[in-house]
Amino acid sequence: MTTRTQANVSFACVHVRTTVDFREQNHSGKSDDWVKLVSSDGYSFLVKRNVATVSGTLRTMLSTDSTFREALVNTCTISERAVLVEKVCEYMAFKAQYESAGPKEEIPLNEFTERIPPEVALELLLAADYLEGEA
Amino acid sequence: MLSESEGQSRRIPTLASYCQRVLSAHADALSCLGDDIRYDLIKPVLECCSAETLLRLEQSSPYLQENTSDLWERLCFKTYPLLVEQLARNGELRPESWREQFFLLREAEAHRLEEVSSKLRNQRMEAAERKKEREVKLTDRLPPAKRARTSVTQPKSLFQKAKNEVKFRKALYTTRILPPMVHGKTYRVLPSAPNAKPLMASSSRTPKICIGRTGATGPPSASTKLATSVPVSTEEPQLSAEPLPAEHSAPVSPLSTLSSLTPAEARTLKPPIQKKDPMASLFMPKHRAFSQLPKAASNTPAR
Repeated sequence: MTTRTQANVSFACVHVRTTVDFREQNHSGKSDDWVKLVSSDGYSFLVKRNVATVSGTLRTMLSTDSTFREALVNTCTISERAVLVEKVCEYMAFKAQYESAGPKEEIPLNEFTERIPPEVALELLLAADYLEGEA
Repeated sequence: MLSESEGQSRRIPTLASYCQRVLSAHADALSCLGDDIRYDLIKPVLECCSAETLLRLEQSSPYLQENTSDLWERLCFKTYPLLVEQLARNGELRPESWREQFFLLREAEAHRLEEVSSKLRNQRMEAAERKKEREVKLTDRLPPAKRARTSVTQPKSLFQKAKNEVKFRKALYTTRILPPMVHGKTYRVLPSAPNAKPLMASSSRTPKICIGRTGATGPPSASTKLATSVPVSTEEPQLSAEPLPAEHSAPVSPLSTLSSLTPAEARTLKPPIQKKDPMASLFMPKHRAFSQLPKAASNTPAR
């Protein structure tokens, strides 16, 4: 069980987007709801919550209903290299975008295939498998 | 992530499946799979890789070997379809270790290929050798003669006989020495008349008779004289009985007539053949008809 910490203003030191008060936006609508994903080599990726929750694992971790520390600070540390985290974010954004597309719309599925460099494909497979866990 | 529980109608492929796609496309570039990959994750990729790659990956991650027999079976059938079918028919197929089966098949195939290629090579070499034998070769030795040089042959046909006879008779009238006429034989012309004498002396009763120089060497006037005179002298005695005395008399008379000739005539007479190159006679036509000598002088009764 994670320890309960006070959600306080210390958020300000971690977020990058200066125009937005991170803490205040936490409970508002999803449009401005950003979460942070941190890779094992120190890179941070800010993504919208709805994008991050494409991943079942991440959704669980970031769920406000849970008491996980990650949920409280809206930050998820992923033990993968930044390259892989970046690709994961890219995929999640791709999926989130087309998820809500109407049935008549064409999805350029093959476009994403080109966006995976073969060198990282194996590791990415492993990372995707881990993060694909369902909620 | 990648689940459909959101209820969308369309399927966006999972990131894992995208990765599998990319990996399958570059399957043979894989060098090592690591220690913690799940077999079912990597299976679609392994199905697309070659036998060498599969072997390499198995060796680097031995725990995969338990699951790869299906893959090896697939490879066997894909790579060596005919051989496997053959084995299956004969009942020799061992389903336990498909991996070893694969390598056995590979060796068998290599062996067969080697046999066929060596056979082809031999055939080609033989064909080349045969060709070489037939090509033109440079040499300075004479090839073996196809048939032996034929000596004087008997005239086979009647026509030939007749021709020879005519030739012979014509020749008679142009020589200084007129031998007794004998039928049915061909005679060779010797180049020199003085040699004829001793030759004639040696041949006593043999049918072989050496005739003195024939052809159109002598001026026809003198020769005609000889011709006319000689038959007279020879025909009188018995021909078969005494060829010798006739022959003896023959050379005498031409010599005597020669001496009686004027010097001018003697010059034109073209004395006996000693002066002449014997080889020149080769080019003299045997028939008076084809002679290139002045035609005015030629009016032998034989014509």
